[in-house]
Amino acid sequence: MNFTAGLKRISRRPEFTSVVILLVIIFLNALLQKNFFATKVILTNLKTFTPLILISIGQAVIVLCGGIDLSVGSQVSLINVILATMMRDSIGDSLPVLLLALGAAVGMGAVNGFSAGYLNLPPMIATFATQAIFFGLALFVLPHPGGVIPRWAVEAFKWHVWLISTPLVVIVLAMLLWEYIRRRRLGQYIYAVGSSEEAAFANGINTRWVKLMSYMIGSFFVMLGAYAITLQAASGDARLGLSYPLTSIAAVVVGGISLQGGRGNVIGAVFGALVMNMVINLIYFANIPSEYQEFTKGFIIILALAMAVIYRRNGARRQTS
Amino acid sequence: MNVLEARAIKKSFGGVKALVDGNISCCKGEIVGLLGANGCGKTTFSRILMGMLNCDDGEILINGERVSFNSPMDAMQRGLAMVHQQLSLIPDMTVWENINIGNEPRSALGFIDTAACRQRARQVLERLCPEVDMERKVSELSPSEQQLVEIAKALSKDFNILILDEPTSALEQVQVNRLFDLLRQVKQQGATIIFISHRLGEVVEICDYVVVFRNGANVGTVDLLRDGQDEERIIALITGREEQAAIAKKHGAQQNGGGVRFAVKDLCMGKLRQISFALRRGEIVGIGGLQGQGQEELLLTLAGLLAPAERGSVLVDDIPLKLHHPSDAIRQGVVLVPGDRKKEGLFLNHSILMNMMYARFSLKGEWIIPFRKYRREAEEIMRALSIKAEGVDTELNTLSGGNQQKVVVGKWLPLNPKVLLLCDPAKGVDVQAKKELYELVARLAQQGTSILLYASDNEELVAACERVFVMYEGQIVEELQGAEVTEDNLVAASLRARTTPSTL
Repeated sequence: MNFTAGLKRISRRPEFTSVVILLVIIFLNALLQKNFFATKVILTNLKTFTPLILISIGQAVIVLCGGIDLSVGSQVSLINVILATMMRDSIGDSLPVLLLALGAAVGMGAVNGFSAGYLNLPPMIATFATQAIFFGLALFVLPHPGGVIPRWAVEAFKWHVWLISTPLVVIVLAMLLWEYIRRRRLGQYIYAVGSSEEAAFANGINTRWVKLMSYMIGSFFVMLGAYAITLQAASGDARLGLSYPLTSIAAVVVGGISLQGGRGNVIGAVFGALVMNMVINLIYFANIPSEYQEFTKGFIIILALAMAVIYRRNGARRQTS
Repeated sequence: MNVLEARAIKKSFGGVKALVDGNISCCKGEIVGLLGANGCGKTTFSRILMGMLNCDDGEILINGERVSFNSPMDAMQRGLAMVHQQLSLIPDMTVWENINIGNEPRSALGFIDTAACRQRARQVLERLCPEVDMERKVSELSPSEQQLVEIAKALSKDFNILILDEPTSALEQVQVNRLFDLLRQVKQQGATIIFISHRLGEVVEICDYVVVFRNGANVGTVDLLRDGQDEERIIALITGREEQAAIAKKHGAQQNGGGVRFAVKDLCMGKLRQISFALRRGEIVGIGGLQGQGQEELLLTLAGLLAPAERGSVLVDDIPLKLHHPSDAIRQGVVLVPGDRKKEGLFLNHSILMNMMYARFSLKGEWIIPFRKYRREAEEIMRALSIKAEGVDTELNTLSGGNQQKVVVGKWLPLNPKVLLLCDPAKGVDVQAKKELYELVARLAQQGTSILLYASDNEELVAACERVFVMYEGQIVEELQGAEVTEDNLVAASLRARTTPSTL
């Protein structure tokens, strides 16, 4: 009986559906991709999946606080072109560039957070607009694809001992960082503001500041994602991040985080990101002609969303009756 | 010296003057009642004291020192705490998280100390409401439990001034008694309490003196200790009239033997079990009992708001009523005045006219909406119900609670409803508006509408109803008729059901 009760409790966790979908999609992937469980394949997959995982963590923090960030793609692009045009062969000379990238990320988060928190603009439209601004800046830095990433950085990203690799370490550190924030007041206030901004204000929480912080923290994780994709691509392209707003929001929703805010866990976004990545994998390995790939991708995203949302709705009904 | 003093507070929203001359001064260890009709500015006033709104003019002094609060944080630092009428709880967080929010004990590393949080929550809950499980999410609690948590949260703070805005409207008598015991203790310890309520009996019981607001100004103070508990005088101050504001008297319409208009047979739905009853034409029938015994579910089911009933039948004028969707009920003339007018009854950011029009959208409509006709109709209703507003294009946000409630009822009038379901219509409505509301209900009954009324206040049931069904755990356990309908009998019947559970 204890076992079934435990099972029931687990099945009520918001990220439960994403785990189920993830298992299904891992199964499908394993059917289509040979040696899916071979160390080398896992390492490659992990490397490709890392950018979306980190960006989705960032998106999750913002959505939990009741916001949304449509500019994550352009943020990735801007960081990418900064790194690709300015990084040098010596680590010492590159350090200021890394700081510049960090400043740019936090700055972009601050712009979004200021618009949503202090100017009270609807985040949906405000971040849609800043998306254009950041994209424009990226084009300004690097109008045509190009640039180089020094070897040492690319090598650092490739480091691994068996399954323990740079991407995995970064993801784990990112999760620990969020856990640290979550256990502090700020983390609770992000949930509180997302759940009910008015109530949070009445409790003496500085809701504007909390919103600002959520966007800045979110952008920090997005920056980590930008690093991951840049070191993989080893070059710069202002259009690199275009697909991320859609996929990261989809990952967050599949991961069981309510778009109304305040409900869900960041780990769910990680599962959601894995699902999204494997969906893209699936399309690739199923030999779908390239002109149909976008169409299929959108279709499958809708399907995954519907599965997650409908399951949760039914679950909620069962719980109340 | 006065612990708290507010002088000549003014506040306008757009063109509407919410406060013209808000005044209060309280000393240490006093419980001050703040009374007034809906829309008199008492909630606005308390929100200004708490730093949630900025006032346009006037000054606030704490211990003789002038303060200006820009946010609730500032007010809390000066020792103010508040129990909000629109509860300030975070729905997705647990009870203990809510009690600590904004003020969490922290460990040396800056992490939230969950053990200390739980300890603090346990201490206050034990004294106020040991029945509430502090590990549950607030969204899963009943309204009365949520209200208790809201109170517990304020009590757990370090305060010397406590403002309670309608803390008891969702509570049962036992819970109110426990709250009052606690408030008296807090008073003994030297805190000042401002108690805002519509329930006159409670105010008289707990307060030392009463301040009355009318139309945004302090119109008088009644010292209950010195002058005695003069309820008549307080009511006169609230309404501004020297008349007794009793609610509608019983009318004789139901005696003329109308036929059965509305019959419910063997209805089962969720926790409702085998509900059967019949209403005659023009009859006003009440539903009583303790809170949360299925009364609201019954009304919502009959209005088609819940999923179709599991079993049973409903007949309106002998025609079976399908209950798959609210439009089924509305088309057959069964309309609902929901309990939470802000969530279920109205579109607050739309005009009176629009709200009245929406009521018709379930009926077979015209190809083109005849706006002019509807506008005339809305204007007539506004006049007939004496809804106080500039015109039919006024947004409902700017209306007082009582006037909003008149719109909820008024929007159904052009449809000539056969059955009117009222779910606690006078909750949070002031004495004057309550009286007008029940007069309107009585008028509808005289025109042949059958009325089913659920009220959490027994006084209303006794005043308005000829018959009352008492519900317990989803069943009708007793029916009181005519002279049997008294407050004592209602309370007795509600409690009797609890001690001897029915064998059904």
